[in-house]
Amino acid sequence: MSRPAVVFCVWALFLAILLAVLWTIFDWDTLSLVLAGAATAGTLVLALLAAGFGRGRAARPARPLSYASVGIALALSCVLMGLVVGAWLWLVGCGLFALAVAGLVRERRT
Amino acid sequence: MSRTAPSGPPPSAAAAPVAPAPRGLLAALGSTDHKRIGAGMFTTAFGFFLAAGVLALLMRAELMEPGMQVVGVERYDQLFTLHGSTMFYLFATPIALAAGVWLVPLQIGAGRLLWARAALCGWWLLIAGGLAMWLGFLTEQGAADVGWYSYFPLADMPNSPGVGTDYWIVGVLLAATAGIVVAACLLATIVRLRAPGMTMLRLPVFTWTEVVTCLMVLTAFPALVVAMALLLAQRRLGGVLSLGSGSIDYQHLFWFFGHPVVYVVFFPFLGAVAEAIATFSGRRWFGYRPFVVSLLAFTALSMSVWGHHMFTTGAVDNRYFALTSTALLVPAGIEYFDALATMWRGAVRFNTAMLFALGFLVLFAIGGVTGIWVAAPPLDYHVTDSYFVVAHFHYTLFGGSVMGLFCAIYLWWPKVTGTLLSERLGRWQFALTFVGMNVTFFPLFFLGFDGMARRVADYPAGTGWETLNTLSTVGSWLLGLAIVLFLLNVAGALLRREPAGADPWGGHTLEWATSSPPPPEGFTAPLPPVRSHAPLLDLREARADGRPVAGPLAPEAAR
Repeated sequence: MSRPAVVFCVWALFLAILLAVLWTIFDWDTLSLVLAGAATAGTLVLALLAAGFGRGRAARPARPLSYASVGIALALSCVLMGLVVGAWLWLVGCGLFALAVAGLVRERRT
Repeated sequence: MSRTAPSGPPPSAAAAPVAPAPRGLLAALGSTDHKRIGAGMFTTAFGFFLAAGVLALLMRAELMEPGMQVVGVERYDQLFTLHGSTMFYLFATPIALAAGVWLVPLQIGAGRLLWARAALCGWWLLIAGGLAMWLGFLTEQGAADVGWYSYFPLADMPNSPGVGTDYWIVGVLLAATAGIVVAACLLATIVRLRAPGMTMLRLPVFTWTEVVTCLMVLTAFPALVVAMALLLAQRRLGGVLSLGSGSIDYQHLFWFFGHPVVYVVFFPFLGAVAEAIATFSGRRWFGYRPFVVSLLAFTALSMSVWGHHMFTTGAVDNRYFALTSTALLVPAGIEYFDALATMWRGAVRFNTAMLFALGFLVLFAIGGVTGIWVAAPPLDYHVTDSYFVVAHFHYTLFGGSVMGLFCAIYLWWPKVTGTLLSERLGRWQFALTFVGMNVTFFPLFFLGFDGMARRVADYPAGTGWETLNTLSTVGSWLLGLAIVLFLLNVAGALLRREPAGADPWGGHTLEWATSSPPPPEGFTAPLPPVRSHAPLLDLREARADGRPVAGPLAPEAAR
């Protein structure tokens, strides 16, 4: 059990056993099975990703500062708040998002 | 644990030297250094803890005696909603992950966080989410008053028309997204950036608790995002949850997140307590492998118990959820056994971090045992929606998470700041917290068992509940005083700046191998060889025995 993918598979196995117990022995409703099944499947996807990534092949470190990342967070917040406050804030959020993505691209190039 | 590993800096640190850290407030707010992101998230979350604590004091002041004295009924509903929401979404979850963001890259010898930009984005999403949630207090109809679970149809527009509820939903969405993003960064860092020799079965105990925490966040939090998105759509558009069995479906979605989150905010602090117990007992953590398996089993079980929050709906199979909820005792027992066995015959040092660790064990045991009560449907029918449940979950969350949090703070404060907190003030803080916690929450067991309903601003006079409520309110003042002492301790430590040194406690894990506070790149000197989950303890034992401290790299150790 030394690799992360194996660990994730073990966890998925535990989830699958609990799901199987619910399915075969007890009374179940569809949503309960869907939720537990989705968690199991999601963990298996994580295991696949971990197996594919491997170790030590990580990208170079990020630059020490990244205001574009802050911009993305603020833009997403404006977009979501815009759904409640009004279209003007939603549009501000979209504009900010475009600017932040451009900034992120620039950061990654330099 | 016989394989050897090379000494030397981690490959990521060696391949890419890090530029000098930019200084100033703006630099701190946009830094991609995991230590700054972690400290920023931690401070933000602790700020929300203080704010939610003030709300709790107001609620306890209102409940001190029958009648309405401090706030109105509507405001009381807003207080308990924002108290619970802030504690879960803005304090406990983020602070558990923030501790990981700061510590895990050092514990695994990486020195940096993978996808640091995303983690920085996560911190700002958390800030925005918190502001959105609290913004409701500035609106005409006040903040959300639908509880931290916001059940449908209570939270539908006709029943909760205030825009504060919409802001609250957006806030929850942002905070949940922040949690998912940060957990993904942490897990990816553990998968890809471990130092040579740091296999999964050599991860420090705290890092293991962060692994399982991240797994729970990544699999449970999406259900919350879906639930909140559906609720927002229902409120703005209608016809979403009001179709078919929408109210029960919403509860399934919410509690599929709502129970695992209890463990999300618990396990990292169990890890901190385990590190403190091992360090201050001068012994290796007992039963490392069974502990790891029990963590995996415990967290998998915690993903399968959500239905016990729905026993009284009649919409779930109570037998299954009672079985899984009771089965949680088995892995919990293994963890308690490991903790006690680690201390057994150890040279235990009873300093502040260790006292909080012991307090954690005692108080969480009460929370756990009463958890078995509410896992049994017949008993749950009797105490559901009563103060018994409030007492139970405060013993797990305050007795567990907050005691564990202060254990973590006293353990790692010297590493983070390079200074020492006052042990004297720390002991006073522990004593006040321990006594205050029990005086506040133990009476609630009796009140709940006697039928006092939670989430209600008032109770009738002449029920015999007055004395216990007064006692509980006095306890909350003690807790407030304990927090004031802690803040004084922090201020004093930052003013005194008494140097802590790199390893004041004789730590076992790699973060103690670097300076305090660590440099931007994490490690400047070569890492010690990693042969177990306690590499610095290995090093000390090898030196004491006169054995060589480094060996050739076995091919399998490099995996």
